[in-house]
Amino acid sequence: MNHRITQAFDVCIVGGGIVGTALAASLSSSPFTAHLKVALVEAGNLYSEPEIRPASFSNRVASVTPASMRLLNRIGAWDRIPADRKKAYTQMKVWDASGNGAIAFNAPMTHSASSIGWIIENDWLKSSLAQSLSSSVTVFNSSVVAGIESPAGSGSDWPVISVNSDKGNGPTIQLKSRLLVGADGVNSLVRKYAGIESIGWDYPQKAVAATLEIEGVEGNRNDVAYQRFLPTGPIALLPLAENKSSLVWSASPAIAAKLLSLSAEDFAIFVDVAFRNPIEDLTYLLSRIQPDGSLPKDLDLKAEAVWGQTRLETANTFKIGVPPSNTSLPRVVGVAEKSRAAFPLRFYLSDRYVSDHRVALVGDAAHTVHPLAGQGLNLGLLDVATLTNVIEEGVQAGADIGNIHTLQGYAAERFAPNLGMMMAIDSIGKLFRAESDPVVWARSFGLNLVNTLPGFKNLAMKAASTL
Amino acid sequence: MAQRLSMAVGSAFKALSNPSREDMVAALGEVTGTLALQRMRTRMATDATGRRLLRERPVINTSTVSLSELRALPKHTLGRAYVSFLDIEGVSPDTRTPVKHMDDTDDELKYVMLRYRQVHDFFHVLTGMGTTLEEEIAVKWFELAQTGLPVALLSGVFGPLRLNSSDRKLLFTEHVPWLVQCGSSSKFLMNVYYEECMHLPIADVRQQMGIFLPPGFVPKDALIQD
Ligand SMILES: Cc1cc2nc3c(=O)[nH]c(=O)nc-3n(C[C@H](O)[C@H](O)[C@H](O)COP(=O)(O)OP(=O)(O)OC[C@H]3O[C@@H](n4cnc5c(N)ncnc54)[C@H](O)[C@@H]3O)c2cc1C
Repeated sequence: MNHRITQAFDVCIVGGGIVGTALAASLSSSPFTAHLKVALVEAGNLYSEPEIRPASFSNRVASVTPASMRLLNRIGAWDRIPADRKKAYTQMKVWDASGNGAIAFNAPMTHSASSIGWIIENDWLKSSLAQSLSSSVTVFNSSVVAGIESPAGSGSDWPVISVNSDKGNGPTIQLKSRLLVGADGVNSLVRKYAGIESIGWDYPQKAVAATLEIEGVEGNRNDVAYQRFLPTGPIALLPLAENKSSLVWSASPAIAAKLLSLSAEDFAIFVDVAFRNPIEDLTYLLSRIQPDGSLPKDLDLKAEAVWGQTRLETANTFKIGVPPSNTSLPRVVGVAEKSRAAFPLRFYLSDRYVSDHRVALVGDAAHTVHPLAGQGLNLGLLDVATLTNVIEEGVQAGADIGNIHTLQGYAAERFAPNLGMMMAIDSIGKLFRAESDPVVWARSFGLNLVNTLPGFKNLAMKAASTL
Repeated sequence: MAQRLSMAVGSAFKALSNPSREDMVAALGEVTGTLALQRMRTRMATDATGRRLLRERPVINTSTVSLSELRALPKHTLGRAYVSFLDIEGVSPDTRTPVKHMDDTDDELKYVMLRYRQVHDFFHVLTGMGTTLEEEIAVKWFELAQTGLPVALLSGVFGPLRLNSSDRKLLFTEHVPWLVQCGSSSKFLMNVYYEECMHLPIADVRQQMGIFLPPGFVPKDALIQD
């Protein structure tokens, strides 16, 4: 190593994803912590330009809860996101494709917030946060943390972080930090350094994401989020703009591959079928997709879809798979070019969030969940809010912010709620994948019960969005 | 609901004590079988031909199928085997009881029940079975394996009580094991557009459907004379 530069920081954040960048921005904007020297190391490009063309949207979006919004607002990032890139939604309709359970949530039933949440592109979240960083944050952009060591016998226990800067073309820089934060995602290097175990699994599912063009939205405002639980995994439609919505469709890797291979036109029809038709239509039509993504000549996809949609009403003694009453689903009329992509889905849980290596984990590095409840990022932002508070208090009390005793406060506050939410999300996913009759009856009964009891629904809503 | 239940129980007893009460067997099938019917419908809706049947809802009766044309077909064809079965048994597709005890709301489900009744005769034809009591019971086991309809279970289980012991032995040592295996391994016979297969050699239809005959067994269609 020819150029070896060593710099010292109060906080070194590895990973400039949304969560890591939010932590850096949060620390730099708080009057109690703005004086701390913060390093933010990101392997990719922190300053990549988000999409600005009005009708174009990235396929990676997140539903942001009111609690997350408050954090973004405090940091100063919220107002940097243009109004037309944060789509408020006021209703959420959820139903079961193989039972007759259905539930509708309305914003006014939740706290004081007028929206259940906002759908925002990941790129916009990241860029608004990156712009909010003040000069107390040193950004190592396009720089990879290659290794972390605890210095032996030097009298200091601060971890030493080796950074290959500038895509590996620049010098290797060594950082020493009082506190090391792992915001480096599901395969966290910081977690390994700290000796923290992570348990979990990859779901036998992938999420197909896409940006869709839609027509005939309810109330003409496109402010309803829809989710239908198919036995192969949930499918969700999230509003982006008046005639655009984002799709997240979880399914087996085999089905996901088929969906990606379809022509854009056929894909749009399949999305409609997944939301509107009896479940056997989807099963049948998926079975007819050829390995090259084409459909056999003797199959009239459009006609099959239309016929099946009438069957959902007329040939359905037990009202199986029917959306909540007064729902008029928007119709999918197109898919944005190149917007289709599949993402792996995982459940990982770190057994601790902090260690006496001066380490704290936040975001996906600490916990990775299935997107069915739209909570992954929101849990990460709550981590940021809590860790900021704990560091603020530590600074005010004159404590060592890298010390495990200080950090324990963060772990104590976040571990149990995150775990609870993770287990709830995982069991909802499992519950809806089950197809045995008693399970289907029980969950239909449960959903319908929740739907008719306002108190229950409020509680569920609070837990889901404003935790 | 209670009324339907007592009707189901009542018809079960009547059907057992008097096999000619076809309307009672039919009523039993309707009120007990909704769930099984839903399952049959699901299997139809996940098959290309099944979907076409649900959409077009063809009905087999003397006004839609010309029996005299079938009589003119070569003797190894499905249509000829079918009409000869009707002639020998002295039945007509029109004598099948119309569906009347079911909920009015779901026409498609009613159609599935009707179709099931109408294709019952093809179950006999394809398995080469006549309509003696033990053959009828044997075909019920085939149907049970195919459709899971409870009425098939009832007849399959209680029907043999009325057989003498040598017939019962034949039933359980030969017919039932074969037909249960055959019924569960063959294709779903509700997903066949019989109207379009009348002119096909019955051997081909059997092969396509995965219906095999045990060695030495003489199906009824092998006895057709010119
Ligand atoms: C299809 C899908 C839909 C989703 N929808 C929602 C939703 O609606 N709502 C919601 O709340 N959540 C949602 N999520 C989850 C959400 O996307 C994640 O929880 C969130 O992005 C995690 O952010 P993070 O910053 O913790 O991790 P990441 O986004 O994984 O960021 C980690 C960062 O660390 C960097 N890095 C890693 N290793 C190194 C290294 N050695 N050196 C330097 N840098 C490194 C990476 O480059 C990366 O930028 C969804 C997820 C998926 C897959």
